[in-house]
Amino acid sequence: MNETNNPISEINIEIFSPQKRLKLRHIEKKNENEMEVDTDQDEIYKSRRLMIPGQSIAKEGEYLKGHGTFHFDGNLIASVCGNIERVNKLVSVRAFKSRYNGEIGDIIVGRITEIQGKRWKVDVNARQDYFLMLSAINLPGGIQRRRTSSDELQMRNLFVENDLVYAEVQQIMGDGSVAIHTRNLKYGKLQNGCFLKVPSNLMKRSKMHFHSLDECGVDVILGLNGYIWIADTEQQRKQQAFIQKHERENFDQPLVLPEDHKEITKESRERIARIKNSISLLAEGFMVIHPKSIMQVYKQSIKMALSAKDLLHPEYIRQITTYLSTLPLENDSNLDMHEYPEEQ
Amino acid sequence: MTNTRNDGRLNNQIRAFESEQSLLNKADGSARFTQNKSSVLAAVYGPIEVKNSRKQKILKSLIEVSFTPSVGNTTYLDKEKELLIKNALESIILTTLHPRTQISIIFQVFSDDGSIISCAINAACLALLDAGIEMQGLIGSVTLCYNHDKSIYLDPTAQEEKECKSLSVIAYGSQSSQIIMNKTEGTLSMDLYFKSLPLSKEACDKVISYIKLAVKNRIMGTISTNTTSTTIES
Amino acid sequence: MEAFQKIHPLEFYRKFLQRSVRPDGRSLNDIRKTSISTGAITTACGSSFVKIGNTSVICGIRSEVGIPSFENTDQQTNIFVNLELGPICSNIYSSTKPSEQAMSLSSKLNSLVKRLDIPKEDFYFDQEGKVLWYLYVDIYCLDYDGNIMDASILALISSLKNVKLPRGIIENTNEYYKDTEQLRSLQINHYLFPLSFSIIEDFILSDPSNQEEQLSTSNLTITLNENFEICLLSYSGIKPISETILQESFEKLKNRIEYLKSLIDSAQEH
Repeated sequence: MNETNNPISEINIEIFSPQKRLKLRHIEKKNENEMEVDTDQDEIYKSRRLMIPGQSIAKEGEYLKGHGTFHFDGNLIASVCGNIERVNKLVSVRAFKSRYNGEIGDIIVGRITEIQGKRWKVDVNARQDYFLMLSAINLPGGIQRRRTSSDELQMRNLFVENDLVYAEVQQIMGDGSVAIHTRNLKYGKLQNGCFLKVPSNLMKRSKMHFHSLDECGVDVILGLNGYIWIADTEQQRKQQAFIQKHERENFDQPLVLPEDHKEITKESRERIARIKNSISLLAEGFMVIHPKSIMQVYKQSIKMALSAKDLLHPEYIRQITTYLSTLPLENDSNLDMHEYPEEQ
Repeated sequence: MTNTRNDGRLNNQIRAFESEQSLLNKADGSARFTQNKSSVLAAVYGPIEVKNSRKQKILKSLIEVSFTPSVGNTTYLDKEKELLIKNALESIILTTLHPRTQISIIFQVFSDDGSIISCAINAACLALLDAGIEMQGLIGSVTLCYNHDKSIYLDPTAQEEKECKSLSVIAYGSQSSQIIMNKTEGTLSMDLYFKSLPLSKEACDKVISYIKLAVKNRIMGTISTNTTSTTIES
Repeated sequence: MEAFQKIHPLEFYRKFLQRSVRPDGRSLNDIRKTSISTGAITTACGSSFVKIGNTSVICGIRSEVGIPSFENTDQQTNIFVNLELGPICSNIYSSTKPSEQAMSLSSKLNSLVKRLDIPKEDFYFDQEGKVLWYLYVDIYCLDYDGNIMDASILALISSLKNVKLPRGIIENTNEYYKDTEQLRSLQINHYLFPLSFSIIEDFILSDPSNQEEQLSTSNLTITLNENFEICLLSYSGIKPISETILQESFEKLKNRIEYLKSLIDSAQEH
């Protein structure tokens, strides 16, 4: 019975060093020491601070609560593990990893999971599957006409389960469900290429999401939800021309792509593989993904005479990410890196 | 008068913790929690679309727990563990923020040397933090065993669990000093039970501070390990 | 009034709970009428039937012989409990998939039975104990109106006390003969007294009905034996619970122990 009165003796704590590490980029390097000491709970520093769920940020009335916070017992408390961000009176805590949150106008790549009545359900790495309504696509033939019941019965001819679509977020309904559309010639089904998934936090909103990397002859679509599509430029152009011709002339017949349109040479396959591994390298190093950084990694890998698969090796990943972090930050408005954590 | 146990610990010593986070690529969050020979991996997927639409809840997120033992198929014992863990986690996850979605937490036991439910709950807490799911606070859990000679062992091994008179799994949160989950079995006097509650609270607090430390260590990193062995070819 | 109950069940209940009553007229601490009867199933070696309010549970025990297990524990390894919640008791349960709730309750009942301290000699088939009796306890819920745990525990302990096992002899190492004239019962000196609570908002309700269980945020089941020792304590729920509420619950259970003991004993006398 004596044991219950004793305080618990020292517990041996061993922290196994994790292999994947998220390092915060310290904006002002002299604040390094401040970051490690977790003392003052009342003030919010302008630089980033790590919050843990249950940790109190401030008293209830001082700030407006944004995402990742909630009120409890007169205090404003963080609900996720992440950085505090403050914009005037609005305080929010942004988690390092979270599911994609769609906004209207976002360009995304999605995968069809289900065919329902008059709509498809599309998986976009968000909290729920998004809807692609039958009325939100371009029917073959290009004519603007009413969707009839025979269209509804022939939905399978357009998109089947596991197809990839390139689309844009159209509308967010009152109950939180999201509708996407492909009502543009550049949107639609993606075929004959390579798919890759990265954390959606690394994708940046920019003017263009479809990038044709001329130096390697590779097309890259960077969906904001973290789904990325890589394909050979030549082949895609031929394919697109064929499809458009088919649409104009004989749209009522099933689309069959001839073999020579599907052909991709060995060299371009190598290039596609290299681009894909460059993107996963950036994802591994938790760096923002956009064409400039992809090309930097690509060029560096060629300079280092690495084969495409060497880019997956942890040693080379470390070398290249270190190299990238030494490159000067460019003053491009597209590259506002202060929003996202990066490797140091 | 403290007796030492088989592995040399004192009665109120917990085994050393080890943890690893973000080990799985596909899962939204994952963590592995090890206490000497008891090791559990927790993977969190969520919030995602509800797979079985009959179970969809309109106002809240559905929490699904799946517990797979290290050896054999899941039995009714594992089902009970699933329900206990599910209720414990449901009390700290803010489920009202994600209505009509599902948060799946999947456990895989690598090795079972006692206190496995506590290990699982602690692993789940780390995995939920990794996944960025909103929580009210952190949760920590310990197991206590009460012996025939009225002594209390904290964090028993499998052998100690078999030999004890009574076993108790308890979970506390970081937000309040109230019990989130408790399951006690065996014969135990009420006095002893209530006397041991502060002990278990303190132990859970230690677990929670370990969890905080592990997360901070992972994210802040130790800056020195970064640039040691890299060469850049010109 | 009925429409209000269907559309806003929580509001409906809250109006009653604020005045410390429940819609069926009970106070928050009142327990429904409990009755126990044993020996209804003659083909089983022990059986009992328990009714708490509208919840009814029937329990039957069958016995088999087998070789002793090699496990060296002082816990009971001869009794296996299985609880089934089928579609007969409620429309929530399906006939094909065993419900998770049933599995979880079976696990709790098994852990209760494991530590019951029945002397090993009671299970001997023959004089030396080369072959043992194994008991399989099957509990079926016939009508589900909440508080299945209490009913099952009472059914379990009553039917175990009701068990009558014949003596036997082994001839030629594999011929077993039962002596059906001489039946003996198990020496179970312990009792199990259960009480379950549901917590709805801040109100603690003893012996919840089905409606109350569905509205509850947390559930607490406690079981004491005749020496006021805790045999099972299970708390799980969405909100945490404080120690004072636990202590109050134990007090409420202590008040009920006399009544339950008399019920179990009188059921045995028949």
